[in-house]
Amino acid sequence: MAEAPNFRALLSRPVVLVTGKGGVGKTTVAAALGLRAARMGMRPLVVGCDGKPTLARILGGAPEGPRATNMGQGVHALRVDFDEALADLIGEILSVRKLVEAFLHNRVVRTFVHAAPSVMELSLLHRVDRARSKDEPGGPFSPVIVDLPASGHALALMATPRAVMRLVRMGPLYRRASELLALVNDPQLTALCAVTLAEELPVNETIELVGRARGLGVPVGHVVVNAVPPSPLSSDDAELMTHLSQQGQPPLAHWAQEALHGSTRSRRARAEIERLASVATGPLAEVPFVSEAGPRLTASVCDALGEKV
Amino acid sequence: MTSTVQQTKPPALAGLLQSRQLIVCLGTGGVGKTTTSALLALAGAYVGRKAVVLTIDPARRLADALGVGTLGSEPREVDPTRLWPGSKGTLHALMLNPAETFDRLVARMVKDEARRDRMLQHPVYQQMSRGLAGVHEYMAVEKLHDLAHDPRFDLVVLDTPPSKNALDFLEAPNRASKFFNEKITRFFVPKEGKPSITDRFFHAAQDAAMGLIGKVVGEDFMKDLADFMASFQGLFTAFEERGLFVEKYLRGEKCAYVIVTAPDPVRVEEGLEFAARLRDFKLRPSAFVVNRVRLTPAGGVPTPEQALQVLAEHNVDATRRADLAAALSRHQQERAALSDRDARTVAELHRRADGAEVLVAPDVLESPNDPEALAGVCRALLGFP
Repeated sequence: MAEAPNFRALLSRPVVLVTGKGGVGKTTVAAALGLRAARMGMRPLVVGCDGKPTLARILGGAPEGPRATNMGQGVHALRVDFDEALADLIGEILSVRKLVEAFLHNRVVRTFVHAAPSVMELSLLHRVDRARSKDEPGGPFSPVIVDLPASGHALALMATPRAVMRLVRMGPLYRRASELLALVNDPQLTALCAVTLAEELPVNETIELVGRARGLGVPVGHVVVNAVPPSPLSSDDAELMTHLSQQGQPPLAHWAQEALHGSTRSRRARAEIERLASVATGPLAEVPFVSEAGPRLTASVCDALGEKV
Repeated sequence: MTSTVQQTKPPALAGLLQSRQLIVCLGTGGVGKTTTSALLALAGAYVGRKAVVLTIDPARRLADALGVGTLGSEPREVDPTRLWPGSKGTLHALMLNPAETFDRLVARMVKDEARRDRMLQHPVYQQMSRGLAGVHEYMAVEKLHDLAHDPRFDLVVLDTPPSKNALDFLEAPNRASKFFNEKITRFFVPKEGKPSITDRFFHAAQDAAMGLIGKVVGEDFMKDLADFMASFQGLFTAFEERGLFVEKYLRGEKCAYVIVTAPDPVRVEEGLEFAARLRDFKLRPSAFVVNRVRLTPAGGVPTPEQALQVLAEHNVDATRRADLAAALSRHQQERAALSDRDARTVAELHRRADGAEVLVAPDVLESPNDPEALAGVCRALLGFP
């Protein structure tokens, strides 16, 4: 197993963006990073972007609301409410309260805004920025760990500030978008944490993600390789097991076969990790596979992400 | 070839492959949706359909799954020798390229070359078609519209973008038709001729709304936007019509929904959520496909003592027996625990599937990335080829 990388450096950034291919355990890793930060004595906030109280399922505790909710163990969480985030963004841009209300309540404007691409993405980034300010109830929080959607959407989101700036070219929205761009491009403020499995397609997607994120100027921190299958056999045993799987009697032949399959899975996983390491995506952290779910899995991932005691 | 299917009662999904025009694969990311889409398209071609599979996943995985290299954004025929032996139909595959789809659409609709070029070069258009999030789903709607009208195909298999917000894709046609709705776009476009009294009244409301948007996005962008809206005006009606067509198509009887999931309680919950959201649209899934279900390990689960005895009977080196016995016992135990858990999860899905078929694809050591391996998975799912 690779030496546990220094997560203190990653978690010292005020904003940690967590993404990766679907199904790799992004939310669990985001929550585990939250626990990790809490154990380091920080005040972390984990932000969910799917509108649902997903983090409660993974951290335990009461469902997280649209404001920072105490999940226990020193971790807070919130789920972004997009209408609220948009209202807040418009509030900042227009600053005159009457105008803001007129904007938000004008039917035509509302239809336009809800249908226009990128509005939700910019609102989400705005919300993340707000969450790290002292205005956040219970705050200020640091780090704010954002459980982003899967790679493709996450990249679109990271590209949004620049796209908006190109379009509007000046004015208050331009200024706000440029502030958010500065936030996601500042290596002192933001780091991307890519999560993957030690399998071919997730590794491909991670390599592409890291490359494109760098292209967008987003600082890349760690890559977490989740659920790495350990080998059931030492390499010395493989030959004997091959022999037994072919020459032995059942059930031993079956056991040997199953164990060899396990070794193959593990060996392939190692090869994928090496491939990932060879393209210098950033410091790699491995999390061994454990047969757990929910808060217990999160705690176990957090342990694996920790400096060894 | 269909004898296997005809002997037994045909599973629902196998029947749908024969009868439907569109099969939509839904599910959260990483559950094997792209693989399942490819599998269903291959199965469609096998039973004699003129199938086409559209992936709109930003990660380019379908090409891997089909073994056809880089997919284009126009349908390309999969080499018939790559189809399953005995296939009676054809298979095309394509990957959605939103910007290219948008460009082609504009090019097709605007005959006047000068006007077309001006539109394609417009800064708002450039940003919108290339930079803005959300365009992906809109263009998937466009592509689906084209495929539905393409005489080369009678079965479209649609792979949807990974999404936790269930059914973003189903909502896209509605959002698209709203965005391109003339009622909105006309606010941006100055009226020609003399305004009537109603027009003037209307203008006041319009000015208010435009003034507000202008305050947020800035006057320069409003000018660009008005210019963009004016030059694209005619197109918006077409966009709206196409959006409405696809919406109707997606909700019609010719369309079937398959929810792809994995044997993990969280993924199954997500799959069931998709089903619940489908109900909001007055739709229901025909089947759940559960991928990578771990099977019971062969040979049972020995205690370390039992394993030790069996190793002794096989004359395994005495110094290594204890470690090996422990390792074998532990491994069998772990695999059995995983397969039990998967079985429980699948059983739970069965209970809550509300009449939809639940099909299980076993976890195999070789990930099914080529048509041959997919045939093996299909055999487990549908009983053929």
